[in-house]
Amino acid sequence: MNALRGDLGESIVSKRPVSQDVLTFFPASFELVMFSTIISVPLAILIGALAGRRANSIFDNIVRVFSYVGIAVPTFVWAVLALYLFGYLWKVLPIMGQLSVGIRRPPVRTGMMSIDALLAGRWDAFVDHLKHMILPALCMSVGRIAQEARLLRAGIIENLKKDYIVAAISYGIPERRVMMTYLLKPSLIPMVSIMALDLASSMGGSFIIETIFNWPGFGRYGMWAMLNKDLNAVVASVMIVGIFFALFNILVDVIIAYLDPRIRVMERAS
Amino acid sequence: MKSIGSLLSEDQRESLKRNWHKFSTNPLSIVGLITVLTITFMAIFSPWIAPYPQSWGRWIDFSQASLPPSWKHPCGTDIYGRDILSRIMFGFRYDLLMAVCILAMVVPSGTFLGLVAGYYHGTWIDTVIMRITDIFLAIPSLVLALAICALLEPSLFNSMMAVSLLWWPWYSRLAYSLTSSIRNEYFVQAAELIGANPLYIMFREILPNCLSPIFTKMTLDVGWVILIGSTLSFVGLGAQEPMPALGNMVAVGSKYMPDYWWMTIFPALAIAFTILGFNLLGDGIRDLLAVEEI
Repeated sequence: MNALRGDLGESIVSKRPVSQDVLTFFPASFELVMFSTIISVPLAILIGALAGRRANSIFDNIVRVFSYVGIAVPTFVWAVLALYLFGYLWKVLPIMGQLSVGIRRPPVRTGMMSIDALLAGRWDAFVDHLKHMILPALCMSVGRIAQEARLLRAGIIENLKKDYIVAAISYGIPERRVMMTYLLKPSLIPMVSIMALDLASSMGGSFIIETIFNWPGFGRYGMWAMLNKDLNAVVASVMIVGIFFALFNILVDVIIAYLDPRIRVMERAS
Repeated sequence: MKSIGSLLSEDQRESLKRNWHKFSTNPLSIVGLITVLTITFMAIFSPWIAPYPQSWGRWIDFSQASLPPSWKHPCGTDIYGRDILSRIMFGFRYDLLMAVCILAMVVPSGTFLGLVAGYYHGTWIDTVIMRITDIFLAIPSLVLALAICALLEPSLFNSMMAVSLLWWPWYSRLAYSLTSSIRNEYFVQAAELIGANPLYIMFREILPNCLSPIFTKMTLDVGWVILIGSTLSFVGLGAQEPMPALGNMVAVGSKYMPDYWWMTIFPALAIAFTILGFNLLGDGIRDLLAVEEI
């Protein structure tokens, strides 16, 4: 019952209230997951839409292979490969932590460092931080991009056969317009409904990714708590991931109601 | 001596041939089938076909340590001089064993609960079972598996237990949705009217109609179970050294990553191929049995 009042007990290892630890570490994870969503959703829509529009072309086949591989390869394998590629072979992106050594940390306000840096007007820290985020966020989102692009592609191929699309094309409405106004919206529905699951599994994936990339976030904290058998912290981290899962589900229901008028009308009628 | 073909009737052979034709039209399914068969073969016969069977466990030969891939060691050796190819073959063995054990625990229990809840649709039995299912589904499986594993002693068996504990809800939900639609069919109502035992109706009337989606989901799930299992062993909560689980090998190898890349890359590729193979095979079977999206 204390959990409802925000009291999650005391961490056995850090000797601090767990809720305080969560507040410290959660924003960094949230930032990472949101950043990976911002990367992955437009990419998935772009790839899926192009592949679905030109089904069975070379590009489509490449996308199909990519989506199979992207789903099959575990996140930690991508992470290890990324460490190898960018850490040793081609050192363009930083692989550890949140900021490079020479750069001063901007004052903490929200806990999300990119926003903190912007609030403090520190462009150097902002750009450096974004660079640090790219690799973990990409590794987190490969699987999501693959899965979402695949669903969108299937949706577009299915909807292309529908009468109203055939009618729109035969009226001579420009292809771009058909695509954007008539085809994309209904085809997005299966993809959006899987997005909640994907977001939640990114939260789960952040446990692995943050440990590998040494990202001082909630996932690394949870992992560390689990390895140290810090029971209160483990319970809290599992609970918070569960709460986020539920919140994402509600959000997705709202988005689907926006995309699918039938659901809106049904709600109003009942 | 009778061949296997003559044991089947003419009709069965005919339908088998037709199904095979349908299955083999998709080259991806064939690739999946071949991958799965190869991996299964290596897993079963690893003690006999592995080039260095002693690499399985505690074996140290420093004269052979950390060798790059060569004809003698196609995937190189690890820091103790154990052949990585042999260890990958044994790794298939543990990963497949884990997947089979988990599914053997999860599928019957999940299906049974789903059947019961679907058959007593709308009663308190349904409410209790399905709400418990929802609770398990509300937390991402990886996090729950990590938490359970961490609180137990890390070992292969405990990681299997943890994954099974959170995997059954998927089957009970699948069986539930199938059962609650099938139970309104006429043949079920007829059986009820005759006064058949509920257990008889569940297992002899309803269950056979749920089998093909469940079977398809099983094939697709082998890949996912291996993925979660290898993630667990990657973070050190699954099989322990010197047991050659694939995720474990990636984790150990990644410590020596820049220079001894073969210790990580080959086990990682092995994991990817295993999951890919089972996913492709599962997709092929789904198309074959014409199961709607699971």
